[in-house]
Amino acid sequence: MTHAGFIVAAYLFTGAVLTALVVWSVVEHRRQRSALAKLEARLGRSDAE
Amino acid sequence: MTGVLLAVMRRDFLLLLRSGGGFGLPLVFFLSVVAVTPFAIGPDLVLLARIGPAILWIAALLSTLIGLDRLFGADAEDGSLDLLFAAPAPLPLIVLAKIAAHWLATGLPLAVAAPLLGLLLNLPGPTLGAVTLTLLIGTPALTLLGAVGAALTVGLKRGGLLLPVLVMPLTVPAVIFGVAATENAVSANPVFAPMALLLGVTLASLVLAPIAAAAALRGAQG
Amino acid sequence: MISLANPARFGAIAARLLPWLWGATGLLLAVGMWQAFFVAPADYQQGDTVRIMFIHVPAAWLSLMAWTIMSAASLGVLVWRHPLADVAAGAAAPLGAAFTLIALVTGSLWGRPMWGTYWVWDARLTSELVLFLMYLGVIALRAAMDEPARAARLVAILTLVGFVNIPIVKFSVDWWNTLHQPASVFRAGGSTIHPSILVPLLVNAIAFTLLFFSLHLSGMRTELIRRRLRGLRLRAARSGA
Repeated sequence: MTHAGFIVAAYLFTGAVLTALVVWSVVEHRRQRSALAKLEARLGRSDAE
Repeated sequence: MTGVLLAVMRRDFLLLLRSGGGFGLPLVFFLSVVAVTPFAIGPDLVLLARIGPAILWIAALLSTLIGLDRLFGADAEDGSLDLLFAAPAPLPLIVLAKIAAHWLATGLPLAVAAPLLGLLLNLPGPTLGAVTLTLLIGTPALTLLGAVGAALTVGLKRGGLLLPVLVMPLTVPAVIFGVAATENAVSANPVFAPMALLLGVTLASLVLAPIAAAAALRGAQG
Repeated sequence: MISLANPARFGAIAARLLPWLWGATGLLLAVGMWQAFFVAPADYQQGDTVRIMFIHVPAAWLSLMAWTIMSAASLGVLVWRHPLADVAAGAAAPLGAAFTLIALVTGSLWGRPMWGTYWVWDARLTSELVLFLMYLGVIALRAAMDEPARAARLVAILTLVGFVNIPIVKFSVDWWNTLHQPASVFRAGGSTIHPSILVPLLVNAIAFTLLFFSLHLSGMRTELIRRRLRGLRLRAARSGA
């Protein structure tokens, strides 16, 4: 395959960016969700006091 | 209503003249940028003539952008912006009056100074008139589009840096057509087409920019 | 639309939709990539490098679509004041920037073997680069402001002003003499590409679009949680908890 380097580079770059987007999306979601859960638990406890 | 608009324009114009060295400061900045370029590129006169139109336009763009954050920033700080909201004239027209004052104090002197600086860049003498005309038509577009950026960033802490970042993509058509018109003028090619396109950009900005800037100012107030 | 305005309801609907979206995305991407390498033939002129088209063109289409979605959301903010409009706009911007970057880089890597240069300042490439800068601009503007309501309005205005660039990018190859090839899919008179290449292209395009919507919906969900967090923290701080 001629110019294989360019084709591979293009696909690798795209794969890297898209993977990063998906990972970031999932990680951020989990982070925020757990932060919310913790805060709601804390506020729930302090309301009960 | 015209009285109000003229009053706003006169006030802004006088403020610009009296603070920051009047006509002088943008002109000196313009001259500085044009003067630095041969130091960076070397005194190759042929090359300078080739890129001269571009240098003039880049310098005009930078000279316009610098200090544009004061267009609404000064008024926001001392509360005059609230008074302008309450003025008996539509906010877009008031914005237009301020833009006009800014252009008279910044863009117009740049266009007038361009022939002199064109000589420094080895642009052919007979073409300098066309060069001035392109800057006269094009610099209002730069001020108008810059005002949109100024309205969006009014009161922000790093607004001074953010403004050029937001405005430069918007000014690309003006710069492309402006440089094309200037280059055609310099190489004795027909200038009508790029000049007409540049005029179109300026006229479109004339209509849209004050509306967008006024909306942004109101949006910032909440 | 109105029923979606409730963030909790939106979150619930999104949670149900997302697994299907991700699943469809994965499936179509797999099919698309298979077709890109094993079904589509090598081009008689360009050889195998034409396979870059299967990622470059969908990415470019999405770079325009994202800004269009942002513009519609901006109208939602300014005209209809829909509560979720700003969330949609904010979630779309980083995605749009990423796809624009993919389009620029893959285009550049395609251009080097094909045209002999990594970059040329023709109308299509220049306007796409300007689009990338505009994405960075709206992201920067939103980040610079503390107050969410004000940020929503100002970003909406900037997005609508920037929408002017979208038709310029699309029609640049028609209006100017460019090195980039003219429109060959979405054009009057129908596509000029052979089905053996057009079908994989469309499959990948749909796959990328599904990926965008999966990421977008997920991003909106996360942003809603972020805003709820912020609201709770403010309330807690005020009541001295």
